[in-house]
Amino acid sequence: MSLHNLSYVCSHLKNCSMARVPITSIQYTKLHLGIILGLYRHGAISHVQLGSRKGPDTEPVQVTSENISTRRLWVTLKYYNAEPVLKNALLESKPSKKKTMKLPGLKRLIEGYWAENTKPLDPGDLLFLRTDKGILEAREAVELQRGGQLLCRFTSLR
Amino acid sequence: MSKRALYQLLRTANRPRIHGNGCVKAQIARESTDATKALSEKISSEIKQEVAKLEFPTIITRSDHIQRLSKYYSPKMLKSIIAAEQTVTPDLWDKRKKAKPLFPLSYADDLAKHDPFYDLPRMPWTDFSEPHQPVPPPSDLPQTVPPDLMNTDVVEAELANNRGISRDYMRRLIVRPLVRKLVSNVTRLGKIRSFYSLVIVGDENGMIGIGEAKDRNESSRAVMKAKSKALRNMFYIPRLDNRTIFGSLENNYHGVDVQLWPRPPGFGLRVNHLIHEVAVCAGLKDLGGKVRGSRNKMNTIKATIEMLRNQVLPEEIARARGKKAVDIKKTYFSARK
Repeated sequence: MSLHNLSYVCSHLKNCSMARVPITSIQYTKLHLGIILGLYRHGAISHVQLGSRKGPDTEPVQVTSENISTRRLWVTLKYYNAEPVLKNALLESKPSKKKTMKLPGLKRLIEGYWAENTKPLDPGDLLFLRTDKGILEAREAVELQRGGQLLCRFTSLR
Repeated sequence: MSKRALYQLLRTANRPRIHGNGCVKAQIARESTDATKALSEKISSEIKQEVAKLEFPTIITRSDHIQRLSKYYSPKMLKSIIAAEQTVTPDLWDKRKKAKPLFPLSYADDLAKHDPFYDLPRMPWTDFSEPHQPVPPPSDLPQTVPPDLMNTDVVEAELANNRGISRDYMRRLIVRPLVRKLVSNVTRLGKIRSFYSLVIVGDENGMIGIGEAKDRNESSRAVMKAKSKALRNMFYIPRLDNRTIFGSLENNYHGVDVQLWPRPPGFGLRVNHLIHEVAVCAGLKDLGGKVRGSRNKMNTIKATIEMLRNQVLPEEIARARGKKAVDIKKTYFSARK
């Protein structure tokens, strides 16, 4: 699957964080939804809402083939002590080079060691991967004993 | 005249108003007509007696005011002044545009009484009957003489008296003069060479201080001055398990690119020799690191200290995320007390 749009999402979220933008919209796809919900579960973002190009929906709107093209995911970003909670968003698998990792490699990353040319996880880092159980964070994947394709990493340190 | 009638008169007349800058301005009673002039003269003498017993004794009566003006102005000018003053009614006075002081209070207060919260001095010698400005705390060092940086005893005394640091603690501190070099200032008289020194001071338990100083004649004097400065600039750096940093750190400071990463216990300090010294002084035992770009001694040390100081703790990240951070080792593997 293409990671081209994911790269845009990562840079857009980083740019918005740096500019201290409160709410922003991204393309509504299954991949993006999985990652955004992962960020929400881990408290890195404040709200997730579905909406149109103009803004989030105040009332639930059913997604049909007629309105799917205008649907956007609206993300409310978090800021604490004048600093953004999401400081950096990096791609792990790039469109030019995809990265997959099995369970032993993921365990090493979580413990703070290099594995398969991948930087270890710092405190506050969220590494998302695509598994058969859906899009999971690295620690969640290890809990469910799964590996998969690494997608992107969000950092809180710098 | 009854007290009730007097108070009624004073209420309808002008009460002393408090200006924004806190001064009490005297108010002038309204001019009475010809018919009541005699009565007002009688009342004014009574008022003066009563006013002396009141809270705001600074009321000037109309006749006093006119008498005072007549000393300085001609009768024609006096008449126009009185006519102008008469245009100001109590309603107008109440609706007047109040002067905005430079640093206004956010609450309404005449500053006449000591407020238990906002008025700062609470020392045993504070006279609470009057509001005060903050009083500096007592100090046994002479305030006018600046501390002599050459004389370490004076600096130690300052730390002991003003900050409560014990002299025993100061004696056990590690002092490392890491940089000693000659610097020159080129003037019209030629090159003026000085000795420069950068000294770090640490207690091997999280506290570290950095000081730089110069001396024209002796390098040892520069070191002593820098040590004094470092002693006064000490601060705490957080450490994981008192041995390493919390997450990986990266800092770019004036061309020096320093990267540090935490390492497991027993790893040791496998870093640049200058970072090694800083780590030993601070009490860090396990570190890995790399200095890229410039390796200027002064800037490397400053870069390292800056990033050790500005570490982001896992608790802070958790607070920002709205999550609870738990140290698994302490919770599940700590020995019973």
